[in-house]
Amino acid sequence: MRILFIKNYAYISIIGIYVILILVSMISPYTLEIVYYTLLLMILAQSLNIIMGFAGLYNFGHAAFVGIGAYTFAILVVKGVDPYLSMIIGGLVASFTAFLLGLVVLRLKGPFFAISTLGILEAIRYFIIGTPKITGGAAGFTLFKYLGTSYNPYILVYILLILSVVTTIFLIILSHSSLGYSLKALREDHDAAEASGVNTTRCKIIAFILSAFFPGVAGGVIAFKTFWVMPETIFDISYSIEAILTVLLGGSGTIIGPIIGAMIYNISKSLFMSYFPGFQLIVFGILTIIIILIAPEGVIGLLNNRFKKVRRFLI
Amino acid sequence: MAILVVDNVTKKFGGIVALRNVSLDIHDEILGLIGPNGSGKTTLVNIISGAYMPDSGKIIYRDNDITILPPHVRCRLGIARTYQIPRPFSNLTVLENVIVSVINGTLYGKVSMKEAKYVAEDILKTVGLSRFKEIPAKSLNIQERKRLELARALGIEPKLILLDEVLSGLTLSEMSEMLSIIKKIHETKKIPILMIEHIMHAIMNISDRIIVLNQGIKIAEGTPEEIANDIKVIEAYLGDRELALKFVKK
Repeated sequence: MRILFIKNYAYISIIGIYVILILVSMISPYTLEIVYYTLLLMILAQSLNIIMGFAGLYNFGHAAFVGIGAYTFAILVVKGVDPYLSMIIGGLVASFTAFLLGLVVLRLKGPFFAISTLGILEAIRYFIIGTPKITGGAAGFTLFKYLGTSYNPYILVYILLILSVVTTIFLIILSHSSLGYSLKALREDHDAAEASGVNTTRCKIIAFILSAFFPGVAGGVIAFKTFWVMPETIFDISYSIEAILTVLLGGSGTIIGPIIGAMIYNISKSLFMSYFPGFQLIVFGILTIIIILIAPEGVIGLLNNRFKKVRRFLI
Repeated sequence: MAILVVDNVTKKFGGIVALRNVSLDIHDEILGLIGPNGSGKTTLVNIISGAYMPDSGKIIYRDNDITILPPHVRCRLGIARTYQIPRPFSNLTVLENVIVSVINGTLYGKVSMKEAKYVAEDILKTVGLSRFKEIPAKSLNIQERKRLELARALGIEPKLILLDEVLSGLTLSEMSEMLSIIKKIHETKKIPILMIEHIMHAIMNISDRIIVLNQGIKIAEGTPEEIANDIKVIEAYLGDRELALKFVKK
């Protein structure tokens, strides 16, 4: 626990961001929506950061965990289970799925892993469409009659806020733990890490399990928010893509990177959507290319390298 | 008792036989492994460290058959290796590079992060990299990278070290510093070392025994003097007997 009290100012900036988000969420229902989407993206990016930033594996199937969490939530809520408990169970089910999938796909390296995760996302979606008796098939579930009375947008935002804070604390502990070091080592050089005694398969599977929990819970929150789960919308690859973009934008492998990335991404996205609707995808495509070319370490890396004085405010 | 026995190992890559029925044993010594390019030296190190599986033959380490064990398990049993072309964890600091080996090597599960840091700092002192400990490994030069390779090997608290050309690319004075570090490690920690090297005067001086490979076959084994006089070795590798003997005497 000592590592949570490191003598630097990085935590001030993280806490500052959370305080700003809380304050902004109180202004109006519109800003509450923006904060909701920002936090959602933040959680997806932070959890993706475990597998992408620390272990160096590009997971395009992150949305699959969102979907699995949402469906678990929906099925349990229909059965009459407490919605907040269902969210957590959704996270656990997503983690368990990650464990089973990880046993197979984590033996693949680099681009092969990335492609296989794309396939997994589609396969799970079609599995759900193909099993209408359990999952409602292509039409999905409507949850309004189960959740309509207990809906409160503020509570959902605060759940996401708590989840994001937990993810941050978790990432701080991870980055100072032996698992964190081992993951960073295998990201840098897989074979040399094995020669240094890193059990690469085990480390990657653990990282995969951990990174699946948070989007699983977030999936439950999404289902609560929309009262609706449907394969086409909940297994949406844009969750994966936006999370990857956010991690790249902020700085992969850093703790504050995905947080700042989510802020920048979502604020600019809302601005574009209100003033130039439809153009945001083109702009983000161009932005991605620019990031990869001039700042492969993201905004954080750029700030770190150019402005030494801000370094102590970043981790 | 031999620490490690390589028993009749054969390794083929497609049609090429990289190692043909090679046997050797390592005792408490510095064992030199020499031979022309492509003679299978690095393949042998890869087979001992577990990066490759042999097509036939066995690797016996401290009386246990480790032929099918994966690399990280062998590392945790105490077999450390270095790479000919250094492969540091570029974006980690020098200290973190060593910490990774300390927490995953033979001390796996036995050290806390804090203890691991002390152990790693100690090792960096041994190899003379203390002043670089906070900088990322990618900004080291070749000499420092070679030392970092050695430091990472020491990090696992090894019982056997496989050194793959740690001297190549170094200047003469850097070389003698490196040699004295290796000697010091061997003498103070009593760790047997298998050393691949092309630099004749270095290997002839530091080794207790030398094994010569040529085209995947072991062609000679003996003390540096015997090797320098061996007609097969002179034909295949050394070229000049007088010159070879001169290295031994120096």
